[in-house]
Formats: sequence, C-alpha cells, structure tokens
Amino acid sequence: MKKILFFFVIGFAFSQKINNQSIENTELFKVIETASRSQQSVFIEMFTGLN
Amino acid sequence: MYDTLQIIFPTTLKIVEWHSPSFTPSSGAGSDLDLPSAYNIRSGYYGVGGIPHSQFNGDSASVGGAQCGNYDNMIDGYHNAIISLSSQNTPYQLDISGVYTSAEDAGTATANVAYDVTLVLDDNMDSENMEVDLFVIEDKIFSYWGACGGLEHDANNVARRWLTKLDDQKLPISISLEGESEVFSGSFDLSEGWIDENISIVATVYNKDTYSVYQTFENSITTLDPDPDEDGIANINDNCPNVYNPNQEDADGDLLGNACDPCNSLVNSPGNVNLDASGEQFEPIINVNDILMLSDIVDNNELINDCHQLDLLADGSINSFDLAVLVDMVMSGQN
Repeated sequence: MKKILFFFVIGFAFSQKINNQSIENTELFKVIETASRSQQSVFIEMFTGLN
Repeated sequence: MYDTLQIIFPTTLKIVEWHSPSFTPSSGAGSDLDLPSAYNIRSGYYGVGGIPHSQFNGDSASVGGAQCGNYDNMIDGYHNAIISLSSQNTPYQLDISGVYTSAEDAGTATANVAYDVTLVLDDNMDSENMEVDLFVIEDKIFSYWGACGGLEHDANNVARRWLTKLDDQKLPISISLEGESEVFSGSFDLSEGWIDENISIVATVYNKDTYSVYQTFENSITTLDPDPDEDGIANINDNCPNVYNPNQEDADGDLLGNACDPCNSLVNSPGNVNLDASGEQFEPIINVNDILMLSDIVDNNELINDCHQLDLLADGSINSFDLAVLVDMVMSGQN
C-alpha cells in the first residue's frame, strides 16, 4: 500500500514538472528539427525536343 | 541562359537537358543509352507539350524560351525561382564518390566509372515511394545554330545516359530514421566519343508517384573520391560512409557502425528512453531522465525514435502503465 501511495505521489510530482518542460521541449524540438535539415539543391530538367 | 544561371548558382543548381540525338548518339534500343525512349518517358512524367519546357524539382514548370538564345529578359524570373526553391529544407543529404579509370590507364578502348551514391537522413522521413534517380550528363557540347546566323553556342548538361531507367535498375530508398545512411553502387563505361572531363553524374531523391524531387547532387567523374570521409575505408566497404570511423566499430553487429548507428541495440534496451549509455561496452543508463522523457511521450502520444523499446508491459500499447513499470525499475535499481 505504501509503495502504491509512494508511486502516485511520485507520479503527480513529476507530471507537474513535465507539463512545463513539455512546452519547452516542443519549442526546442522545432528549432532543432529546422536546423538539422539540409538545404535543398534545385533540380531543373529541360526538354528541347528531339528534332 | 542556364550556363549563366550555373555561374550564379555553382553549387545550388543542377540541370539535366534532354536534346536532339545529334548531341547524344543513342544506341542499345531499350537500354539506358536509348535517348528517344528516355525522353518520351521523362517528358510523360510532366506532360511536356510545348518546348522548351523546364521542370523545377519535378513540381513546377516554365514553358517557352527565346529565339536564338536571347534569354536575357528571362534570367531574373528564373533567378528568383531558384532562390525561393533553394531555401527549402530537406532531410536528405547526397554525396557521390567512386573511382574513375581512363581508357589509357585501363589499357582498353573505354574509360570506366565505378560510383557510390551515399544517402544520409538528418531527420526521420517516411521512405514509401522514395527512390534515387541517376543520370550521366555531358557539358559543353559544341553546337552550331545555322538558323541563327551561324551562332556557335555550347549545349550544356546534356543527358547522355539514364542509369536508373529500366525497372531492374530502380533504386528504392529503405532508410527512414535520422542518422541512417544507404549506399547505391554501380559502374558504367565511356566510349571514345565522350569527353571525360565534361562528364558528371547527377543523383536525385524523388517520389516515384508524384515525381517531386527532394534533393540533388552532382559530381564530375574525373574528381570522384573513393573515400570522402577520409577514414581509410572506401565508401563501398565503409559501415559509416559519411562519418570518420577508421576502426569500423559495430558493437551490435548490424553492419551500421557505432559512429552513425541511430539504433545501436546495445543502447536501445527496454526503458532506456533517451538512449544514453556509458563506457566502451555501451552500458545503457536508465534513470529519472528516462521517466521524464517517457512521461512526455505518453502525454503527446508519439514516439520520437522508432528504435525505442517502450512497451515495457509488452501489451501492444505505450501508456501510463509502462510509465509505472519504468518508475519501478528505476526505484528498485533494475537497469
């Protein structure tokens, strides 16, 4: 019983902390995602006819 | 015009031009050297009608040109389009390495090119319908425009060969996770009629259903490097072709080196949510940081990395019950 109560206390404590951290992490992930992607080269395929 | 644009954008712009067979003698009907059939297939992708037709990244097109090469009025528009398209981000990195052997060095009538096209993901990306396309082009082919008062003007970046034209030549992409890499290798011969110094390989990453192009790379055949990461291991044998790893360590034996393996199975043990480890044997570290990260994943209902083993109850779902198991693991010191 004590173990179950301990677990719920831990769970609530961490969930409070995680809500704030979750927002920060979301913004950080967006920045990292944008920064980690490569810049794209441009590919042009030109058709001038066969004759 | 495109020769002017390539001077302005020497690394950003890659061009393949499909021209008259007089520039590119075709042979081997039905093979990847058959220019007319290649032209018909590729122009069919984009519904080419009027010419000249320029297709940008497989998506948008510009139709029409100027008589006798007087393109000056069109350059600004193309310049702005290239600027806009090159600002887009893509998860794909491409590199082309390999070995070029001249006919003289080979002691044969033909030169040979052995190539390795390395594809690296720097972000997760679904690989469904994604393929690599390969072309051989020749630049600066002399042409004489008699109808334009005898204008002499080089034809640029003329398609000489479509290496992935046939069904059994297609190169589907199999990687989908950040950090993964894949190498596509092959070779081809060059006859005497080609000027080797003007030959390049162009590689693109494209969607085979929409024909959208996600990345492009070009390398001259005479400057191919067999070992671009300079770790002493040729790309074809390198388990991390774009990362310096001379010792080729591969702790989990999956043929992907430790230096570039996003799913090292020694690290990816149940409960090691943030995939951290210590020591040379990659001892996974499971602690409160993993609890915090799993809680966030459960809250957002999404995996950050497909390598995670988070279904700790093995019941087919990842939820707060798995979080409870992880808390118990950490509290009881079971790592």
